[in-house]
Amino acid sequence: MNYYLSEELNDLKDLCAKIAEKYILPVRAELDEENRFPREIIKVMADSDLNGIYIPEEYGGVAEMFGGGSMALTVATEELSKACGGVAVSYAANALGAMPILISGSEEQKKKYLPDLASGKKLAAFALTESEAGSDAGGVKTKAVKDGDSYVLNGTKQWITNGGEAQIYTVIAQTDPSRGTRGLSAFIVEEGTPGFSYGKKEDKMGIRASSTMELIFEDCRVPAENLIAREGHGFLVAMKTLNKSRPGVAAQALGIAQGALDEAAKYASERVQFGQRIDSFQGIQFMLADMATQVEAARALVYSASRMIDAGERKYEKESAMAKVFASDVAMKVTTDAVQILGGYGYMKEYPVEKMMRDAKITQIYEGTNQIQRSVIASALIKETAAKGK
Amino acid sequence: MASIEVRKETCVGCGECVPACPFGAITMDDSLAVISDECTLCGACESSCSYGAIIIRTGETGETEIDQYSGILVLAEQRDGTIDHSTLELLGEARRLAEADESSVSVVLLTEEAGDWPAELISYGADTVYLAEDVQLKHFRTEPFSRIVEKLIVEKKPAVVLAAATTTGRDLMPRIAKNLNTGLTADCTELAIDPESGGLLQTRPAFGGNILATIVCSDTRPQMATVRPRVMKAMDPDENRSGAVEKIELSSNDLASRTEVLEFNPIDEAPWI
Amino acid sequence: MRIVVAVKQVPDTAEVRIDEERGTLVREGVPSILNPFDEYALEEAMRWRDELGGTVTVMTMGPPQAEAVLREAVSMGADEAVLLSDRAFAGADTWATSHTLAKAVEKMGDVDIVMTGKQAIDGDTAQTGPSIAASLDWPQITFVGFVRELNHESIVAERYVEGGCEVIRASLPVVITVLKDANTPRLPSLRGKMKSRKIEIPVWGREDLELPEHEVGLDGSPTRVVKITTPELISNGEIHHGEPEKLAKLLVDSLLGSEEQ
Repeated sequence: MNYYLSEELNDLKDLCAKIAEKYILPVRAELDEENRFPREIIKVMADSDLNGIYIPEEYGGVAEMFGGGSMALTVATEELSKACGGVAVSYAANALGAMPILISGSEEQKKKYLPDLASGKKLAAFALTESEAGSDAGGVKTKAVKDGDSYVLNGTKQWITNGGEAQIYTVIAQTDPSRGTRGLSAFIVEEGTPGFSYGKKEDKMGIRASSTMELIFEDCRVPAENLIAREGHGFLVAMKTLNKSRPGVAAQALGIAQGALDEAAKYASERVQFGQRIDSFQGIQFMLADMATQVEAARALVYSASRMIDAGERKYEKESAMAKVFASDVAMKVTTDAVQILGGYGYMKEYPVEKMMRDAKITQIYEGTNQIQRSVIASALIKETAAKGK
Repeated sequence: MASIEVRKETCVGCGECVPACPFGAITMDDSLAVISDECTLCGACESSCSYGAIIIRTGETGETEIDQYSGILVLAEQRDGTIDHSTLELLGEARRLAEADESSVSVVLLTEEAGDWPAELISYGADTVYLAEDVQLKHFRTEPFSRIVEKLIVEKKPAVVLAAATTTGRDLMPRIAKNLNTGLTADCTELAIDPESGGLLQTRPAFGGNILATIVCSDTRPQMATVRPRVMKAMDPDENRSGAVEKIELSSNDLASRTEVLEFNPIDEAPWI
Repeated sequence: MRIVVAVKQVPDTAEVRIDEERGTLVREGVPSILNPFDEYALEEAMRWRDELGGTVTVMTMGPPQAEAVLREAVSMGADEAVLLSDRAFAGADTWATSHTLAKAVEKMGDVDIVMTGKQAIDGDTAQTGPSIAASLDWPQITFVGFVRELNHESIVAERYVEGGCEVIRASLPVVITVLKDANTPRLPSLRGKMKSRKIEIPVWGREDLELPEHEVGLDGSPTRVVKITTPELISNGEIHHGEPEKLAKLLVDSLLGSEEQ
């Protein structure tokens, strides 16, 4: 389906497709096998200005080219995910890590940190999750205690994407235990700060090119000017960040699904059984038809949500959640179907679809589980209904 | 000057010529073929027209100068202390071509020390060996080599100059051709004398090997060509053949060069050629 | 450092097909691309500009649509572009082409080095580079597989020849032709794409270059094509059908040169 992308977005899409073909496809199986971060590929992307597509020109980015950053991130992430979801998230997680600074940071903070992120000189990561704070993000226990002109951080963050590879971390910590979610604050912590170290690197089911690590803060002293916005704003900053980046995850799921669909359709056109191409059998045809329709529906949702954000809509958490929950569920189904269509070959690591199925699963879990997404959608719906009733 | 014409009265507008043109130079305008400036006078359309509506006229080649040029000059190449086999192949081909009009075959050799190479070249078909010997000619360098050969060509007026399509030949020959304002065809796989004009028909692959193009250099001399190695045949060496060796006088000017060879690193396989 | 890169728009010869009946090239639907060898020359130019400072100017001689490859080069990082286009230039062989390109270099002035790819994949002559050098009366280094050093006075480059690698030093200004071994061409950047859409590309014709009619185009070409044929496909192969086991044995036997067939 033609979504009438602008010339610039089409350029972006083509560039990502070129990068995918030239740099990602040849190594994706290896990265998956070795749990290896695609440093060289991220550099190629940065050299082509891809790291700045969501950052305004005044901070070294090129967001104005695309009329915002959301649709650009979506298009780029989708295209990269067709080749490898792990590489794509390594790229997209930078935007996630930068988002708190972009949305709520001070002018000084933006000027200090965004240019290096735009140029790719540095990478970013967002650190919210803890062992006891997943869906219940308010349950964050990492403490940040004010001491003179610094804050001292103590605690452990878990499962941080780009952990160990990023230099700039936006960290949510508790500054006032008595105020629940209103007692959380957001901080910028740079790699190398004394007291900030890395824990274990996770051995994951999928998106294995992505580096997922523990972050350990032990009396880590962070300058007070690294506080984003104000004390107590951390939860809000985190939610705004997640709302804005959510289409990115949806786009990742969408790209993975498309990649799997392409593989399945191609295989079905070549595989001969009972003297016929298997795509001449209705059983397979119906599967492919459903897969294709679902992917297209997911695309329409993801693009609409992204366009809403770029258009300056103030409330979009319902649409953003819809895009994510639908696209990730579609990705899981389509990749599973793709393995099924490839049959025995689909189960073998020699063929790319089993990896796509393993990669797809996380999209139903992170950036807010699909259960949380459904709660968000329901809450929004209930509010709207109540408002109509008045 | 060569030209092409579509005869309006004869053209029926069948359009057969349009796809025949390898350069996309023909369009149909109201049932008449129109030939654009992309045309290179290759003649593919002329052959394709069943009605004879397309005529190519070759220009007047009445340059009397051309008559002053005769014979074939081969550029010899030495490598690893021997005469490169491609030189012998060229001599064999030159001999074969020279039979058509009983012209002479000469070879120019630029080297540090010729030893018995002149005799070898004569046994492989050369009538005359032009020899430039100097320590500064040990390695191929574009400027001295091109200067010396250009001077020789101006003096001896060969009708044809052949070199192997090696890195040396492909470096040197275009420079000489440009300086002498004459034509050069690269990487020929076939050479022949046109019985009508007496000129050299130079055939070579193009478009990545998808086609063979035959090229002529009708109005200028010499006609220069580089020839693909291992395509032509060397003749069996004949010890009894006789020939002359003529030394080329060199001045320091001839040997001046703005490039120098700093080192040579031999590599067993050269995959880039 | 002022570097000029001469590029060419060529049909993608990997996609060109032959009309077997007519014995002609089928050029319909064949995309036009930037000559692949020129991409490496362009990357080499940009690499040195990035290191030494200066500008990279791309130029091409061609019909108006050749502008596309100039814009592509700008999207990859070239600073400026100029199109040499004139009806009078059509039908040029390498003599006329290099003559025209050299005149453009002279018109630009103050050029330190001209780089171009080893050959164009349509003409395949590899003559244009050395001819430009002759026209400018500059030294040349052909078949450059690697540039070791470059400064305002000289260049040191590896020249890949039969049997090995020559290391050549030449004084500037100089013309070099570049092999695919020299580097890895960078991808376009988004900023580059934006620039390539907006940049104004001047067009220089015969009069702008002050070239007489008889020195350009068909009139300026000492060589011309008189015939085009398609090469005969000589097939000495055999096709066998049968059961996989039998075919496998047939194949192994023929590879081993066995008598049993």
